[in-house]
Amino acid sequence: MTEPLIRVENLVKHFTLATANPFVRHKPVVRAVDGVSFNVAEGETLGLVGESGCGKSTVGRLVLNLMPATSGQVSFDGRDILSMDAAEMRRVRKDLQIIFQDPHASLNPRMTVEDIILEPLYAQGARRSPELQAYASELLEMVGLPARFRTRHPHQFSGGQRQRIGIARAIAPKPRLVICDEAVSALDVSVQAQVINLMQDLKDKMGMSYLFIGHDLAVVRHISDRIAVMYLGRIVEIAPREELFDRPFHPYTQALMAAIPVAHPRLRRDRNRVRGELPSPLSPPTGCHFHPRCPFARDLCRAEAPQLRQMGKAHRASCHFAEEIVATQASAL
Amino acid sequence: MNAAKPILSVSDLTIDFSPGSGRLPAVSEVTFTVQPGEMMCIVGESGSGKSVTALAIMGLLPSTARLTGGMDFDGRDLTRLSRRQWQNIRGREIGMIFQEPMTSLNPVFTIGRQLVESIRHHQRISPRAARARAVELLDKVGIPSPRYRLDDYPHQMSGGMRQRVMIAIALTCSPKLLVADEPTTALDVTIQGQLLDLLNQLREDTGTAIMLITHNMGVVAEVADRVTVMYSGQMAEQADVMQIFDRPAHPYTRGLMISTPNLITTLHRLTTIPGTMPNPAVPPPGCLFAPRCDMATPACDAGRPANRALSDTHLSACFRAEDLQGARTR
Repeated sequence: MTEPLIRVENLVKHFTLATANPFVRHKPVVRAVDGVSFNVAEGETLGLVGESGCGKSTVGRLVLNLMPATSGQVSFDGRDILSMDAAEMRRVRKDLQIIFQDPHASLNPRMTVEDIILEPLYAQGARRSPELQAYASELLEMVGLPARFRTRHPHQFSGGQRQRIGIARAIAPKPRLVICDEAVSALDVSVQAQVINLMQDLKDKMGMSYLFIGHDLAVVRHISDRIAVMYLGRIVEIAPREELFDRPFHPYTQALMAAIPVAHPRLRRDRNRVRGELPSPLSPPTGCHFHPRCPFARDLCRAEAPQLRQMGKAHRASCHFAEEIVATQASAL
Repeated sequence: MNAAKPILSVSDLTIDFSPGSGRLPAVSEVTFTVQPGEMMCIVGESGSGKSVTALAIMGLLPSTARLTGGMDFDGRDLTRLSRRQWQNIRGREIGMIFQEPMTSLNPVFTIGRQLVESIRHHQRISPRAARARAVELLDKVGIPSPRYRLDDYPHQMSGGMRQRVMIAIALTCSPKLLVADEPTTALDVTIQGQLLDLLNQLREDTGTAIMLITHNMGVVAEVADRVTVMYSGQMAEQADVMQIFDRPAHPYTRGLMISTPNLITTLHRLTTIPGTMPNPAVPPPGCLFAPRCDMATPACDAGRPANRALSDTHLSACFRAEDLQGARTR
């Protein structure tokens, strides 16, 4: 296999919290991202799914070097991003773009749509020109907006339209990787489906990769080739989409799937809900982070953190008893 | 169909914030009932008028709103209540839960104090007894070690826990009706599941009717008995939950269902509803959904379809309801 487009290795991000008490020797540390590794291949969509506070958005920002990582490596096309100087980083940014969740907060209200979507090019040193203006029109049409909207301002658009503008900005420099950070979460269902389709179409046309960060497993499943599930700063399972859904190994992945509302009232069932809530990342549980909520937890889970292990060809999960749990479930059916 | 007398019956409810302006009213001629112990879901997207409907039933509309139509709650006409009478009904007979539990709880008081306040506002009992009742309620909504959590401030709790506290407050007087406006929308999916289970269990235990406002068809599929689908301030369809999912009789309902990604089907492209909701200042001349509808005919642009009964339990505001249902059965 060729070198992946993005290779993330053992990425760690700790946030040290300020304390009012000057005598506290060890300031509290949030381990937002705690040793995350994954690859994204050229043209692939990797879904990164988890609940609030699991660190998925921080991973997105670290991959773009928007905040300094505590340790670990991110290489893009074989080059280490985290050690780049500002000038190098700016050149690489052409290939790495991001779409944010909140289309109201991520577009500058004082700029015209044209300036917004061409800004990544200006940042790369491009000058205003009739060609670029024509390109802006072309981009708007690619995302399904009429070219005459070029001169308008963000407040004149609905949430769905704004998200399309955000997408036009992201694809303007013809990037090779677009990070979508909850890019469709704030949209109404009918508009969400339109934007998801648009993202698929653009990918088919332009061949870039997506790192699709989301909390809705159904949406992430729809768009991703492979999916990584995060819990409290760590990836607990990563697999090709079909495999993950056919054979989820980690009890947290199973719980996440079970929690998704059914598609039809006839499918209603009593289910074993996962107990409790996400523990505080300030004092994560010992051993496996999921053990306080896990119905299968044993002494080993409380003592020792499981590592990601190979479960199938491209399927890895971090659970001490994964095989056993899946075997018991299979025999129970 | 439940033959009992409905606990809430809303007829031709119209709510207008700028009457005579030519804008669409926020809510227009909405009619539904909620039976005792029933879970009625009102589903729609932003701007559908579902939250305004909920506010009207709780008597919380701003004074600029003009309301016409009938709202009958347990034999009383809600449209004619004074402020004082509302205060006796709200909280005591109609409980409320909102989307964002952080803004509905007072951040400067402990949750115990807020619970006790609510209990003692409605019942003449001693502070000690009220505190005991508060512990009981927190326990009932699944808060671990309730005796200790009573002294917590809202910010010390997670979103899911705060929403449980809100439910506990709503339950203080065993209301006959609980109005829940997007109660799980701000929460993670595992917590959403826990809370829906809780609401269902409370309904079984106490017989409270629940009117649940949501934008999520998954939540509807999970808990509803009956469903009212709203679009642009109007009722698009109303039916039992099985009918809605098996034989939708409005293209918007069908669109909502098929544009929601699920865990069963895998398609490269999602089926979508094209376009967006109409601007209420310049409504389309005919059916409000016609500009986005793949089944629209010239008749749909000419006149606005009224709600009509397809059966005892099924209402639709679509000229082509039968065609749509027929197409599905075939």
